[in-house]
Amino acid sequence: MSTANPFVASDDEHWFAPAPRWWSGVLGGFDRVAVAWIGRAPGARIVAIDRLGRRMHAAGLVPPTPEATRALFPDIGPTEAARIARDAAALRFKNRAAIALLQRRGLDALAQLADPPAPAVARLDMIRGGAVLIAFHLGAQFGVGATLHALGRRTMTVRNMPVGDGHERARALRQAVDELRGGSLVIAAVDGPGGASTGPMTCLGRRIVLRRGPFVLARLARVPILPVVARWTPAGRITIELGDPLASAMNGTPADIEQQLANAAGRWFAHQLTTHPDDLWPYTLANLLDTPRAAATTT
Amino acid sequence: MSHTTTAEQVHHAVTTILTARLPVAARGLAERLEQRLGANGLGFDSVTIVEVLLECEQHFDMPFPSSLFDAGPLTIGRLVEHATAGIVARTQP
Repeated sequence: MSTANPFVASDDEHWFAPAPRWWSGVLGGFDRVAVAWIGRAPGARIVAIDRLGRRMHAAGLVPPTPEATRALFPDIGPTEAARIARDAAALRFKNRAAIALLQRRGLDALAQLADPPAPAVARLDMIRGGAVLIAFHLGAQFGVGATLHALGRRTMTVRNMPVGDGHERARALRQAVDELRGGSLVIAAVDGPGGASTGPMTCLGRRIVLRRGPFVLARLARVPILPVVARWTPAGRITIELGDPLASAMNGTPADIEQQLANAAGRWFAHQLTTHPDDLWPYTLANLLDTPRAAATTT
Repeated sequence: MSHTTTAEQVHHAVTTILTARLPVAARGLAERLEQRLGANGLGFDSVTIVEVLLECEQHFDMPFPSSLFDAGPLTIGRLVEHATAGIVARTQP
């Protein structure tokens, strides 16, 4: 099966269909204006971009619909569903501006928005040597690397943007093992398309898979693996939260160990989505809804 | 030890590492030096390729760095060549 949905296992190279030229033009125009406009008051301007996203959503111009959010969170009411949908639309605009800032002005420009809380800094300080930090497409995802950069931590990011074919992915993994052994933090998205998949797991009543590479990295380099999320504050700044190190029994086959780590990551992902539904990307929502429902007996 | 003997021994060791990850029916493919490890070759995914490199590092006690990818898709021949060169360099006075 070939699919660009990262939550669905695929047995070949799969990728996004190229965006139509008119849409690439719209995005490029938004990027130019956003980066120029953010200028020297980035926090306040991000708040304004948030408002723009909400207006566009209210006008019915951008997804998601409240019905889509209720399909993922069936227990919420229509008012809450509408709020989550508005938040998701605003999040998309803010993240687009963050990506534009990153791509056009570099990591320093995005890092000036970083506002890491003391508990996250303390937890990072406790990490001695290398560690794999896994991120999902949630919240201000590109803020993870920017925050670590602001804190002066040596990092390597894999899978923040799509990593080409199998050859390039193998090269990136090999480099990541060396970085981990040298004491770096490696940031890896586990829900990007392309590459080997874990076994299936249940998340919010859906049957999903994640990318296997980050869990392999932790096993091969013998380093801890922790989930991390960056999110926007109401003031348009970026904060991060680190989860506890994912645990596996560390016995059994390598595949068993990786799957235990992946299952723990899946549980953390579900917890984040239910406790912070405002971190839901429209992209992530659409992908989750495009997965099979888990059997009624699984949890 | 001559270079030829070393290369043959290295090829045998690399083949053993590779065949452990191949289905029985495909094991003959690992004999051919020009065979790619990934797509259009042995069909290993990126994770398996890295596992192979790390196992080679352990077996031959030398680095198999990411620069091995610089010359294009990794082949069995390049692994053998790299290990052979490393062993020969190590044994030269």
